[in-house]
Amino acid sequence: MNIQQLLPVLFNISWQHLVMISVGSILIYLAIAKEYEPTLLLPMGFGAILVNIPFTSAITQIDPATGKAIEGALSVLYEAGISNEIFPLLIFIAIGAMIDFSPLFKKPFLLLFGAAAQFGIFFTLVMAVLLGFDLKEAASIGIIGAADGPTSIFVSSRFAPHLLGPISVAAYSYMALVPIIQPPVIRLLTTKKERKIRMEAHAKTISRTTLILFPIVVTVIAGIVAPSSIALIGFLMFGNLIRECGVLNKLSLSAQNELASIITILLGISIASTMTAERFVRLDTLMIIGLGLIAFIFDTFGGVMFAKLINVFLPEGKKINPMIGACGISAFPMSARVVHNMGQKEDQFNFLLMHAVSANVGGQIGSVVAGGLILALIPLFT
Amino acid sequence: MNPLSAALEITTIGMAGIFIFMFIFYVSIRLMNKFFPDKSERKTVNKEAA
Repeated sequence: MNIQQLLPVLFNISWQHLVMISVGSILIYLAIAKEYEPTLLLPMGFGAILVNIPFTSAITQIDPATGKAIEGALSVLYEAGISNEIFPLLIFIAIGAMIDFSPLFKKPFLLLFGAAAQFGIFFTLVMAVLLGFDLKEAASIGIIGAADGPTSIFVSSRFAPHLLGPISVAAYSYMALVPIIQPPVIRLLTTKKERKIRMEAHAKTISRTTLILFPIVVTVIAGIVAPSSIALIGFLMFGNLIRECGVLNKLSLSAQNELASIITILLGISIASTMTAERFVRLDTLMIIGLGLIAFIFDTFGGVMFAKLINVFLPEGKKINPMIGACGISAFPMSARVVHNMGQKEDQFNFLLMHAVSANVGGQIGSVVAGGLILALIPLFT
Repeated sequence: MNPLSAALEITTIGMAGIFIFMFIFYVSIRLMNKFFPDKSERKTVNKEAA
C-alpha cells in the first residue's frame, strides 16, 4: 500500500478546493473577529470547509466501486429543509415574532420608503440580465437587494438553487456591511442642509386590536393580490400574530429564541452544502458578489431619491430628512442606526431614530412583498 | 419576448406593485388607527375634554 492510497485527499485536493477552504476560513474570521452576521456566516464558513475536502462524507458522493450514491448529512439536510423551502419559512415565523410594527403605526406614511428602497432589486435584475444571466437567475441575484437573508434564500432556492451559495454569502455579507455601504451613497445624494432637516416626533400609542389585526389584514391582502407570495408573507405575519396576540408569550419567546437559533444553524450549514468548489469557484460568483453590492447601493439611491421627490411637494417645516429614505431596506436595525448617527453628526440635537426605525420596519415588510412579487411575476415571463 | 424587455417589464410592474401594496397597507393602518384607537389615549382625551 502506497501513500497515495493511505492519504487520497492530499493527492486529490485541487486549487479550487483550497480556494473554497480559504473562503470558508474568511467567513469564519468575519463572523468571529468582525461579528459580521455571525449566526449565519459561521455555519456557512464551517460548512464550506466541510464540503470542500475531497471525498467528504458530509455531502452525497458516488461510490466509485459500486456506482451507488452514499448520502451525506448536509445533502440530506438540504433536501429536507432548503429545496422544499421549509427552513426559510420557519425562520420567517421567528423573524415575525421579533418584529415590532408599532413604530410604523405612528408614522404609517414611512411605509412608502419600504417600497422605494426596493429599487435596487429590480435595477440589479436588469443588470444581471444584461450580463447574461437568465431571468430566474437574475431575479434571484436581484433579490439580494431585499437586504433580507431569508427572502433571498427563499427566492433563489426556488428559481436558481445552483446559485444559492454565492447569493446567500452576498446577501448576509452586505447586510453586515450596511454601515460601510450606505453612508457614502447617502452623502453623495444629499446636501449638508438636507441632512440637517429635523422631523417632528409623535408620541402616539397603538391599540392592541390594531397590532393584532395588522398581520391578518396584510396576509389576506397579500393572498388576494399575489397568492404565490402567501407562504412568504403569511409565515412572517403568523410569527407576528403569535407575538402580538398576548396569550402566547411562551410560544412567542420560543419562536424568537429556540426556533430562530435551531433553524439558523440548520439553514447556514445546509446552504454550505451548495458551496462546493465546482459550483462556487466560477466567474458567476464574482459577478453575483458585484451585483449584490450594486443592489444595496441602488436600494439606498431609491429610498433617498424618493424622499427628495416627496420633499418637492411638502411645505417648509414639514420636509422629510432624505436620509430616512435609505432606511427603507430590511437590514434592521443597522440601517436606522446608521442614519440616526449620520443625522447626529450633522446636528447633535437632531433625533431621527424613531423615524428611521419606522422606515426600517417598513423595509422589512417591503422586502417580503418584493420577494412575493418576484415569485408571482417571474413565472409569467419564463 | 427578449430577456431585457421582460426584465424591464418586471421592473415596472414590480415597483408599481410594491407601491400599491404598501399604499394599501398604509390605508389599512390609517383605518385601524382611526377605528381602533388606543383606549388609554382615548380616556386621556375624554378627561381633558371634561
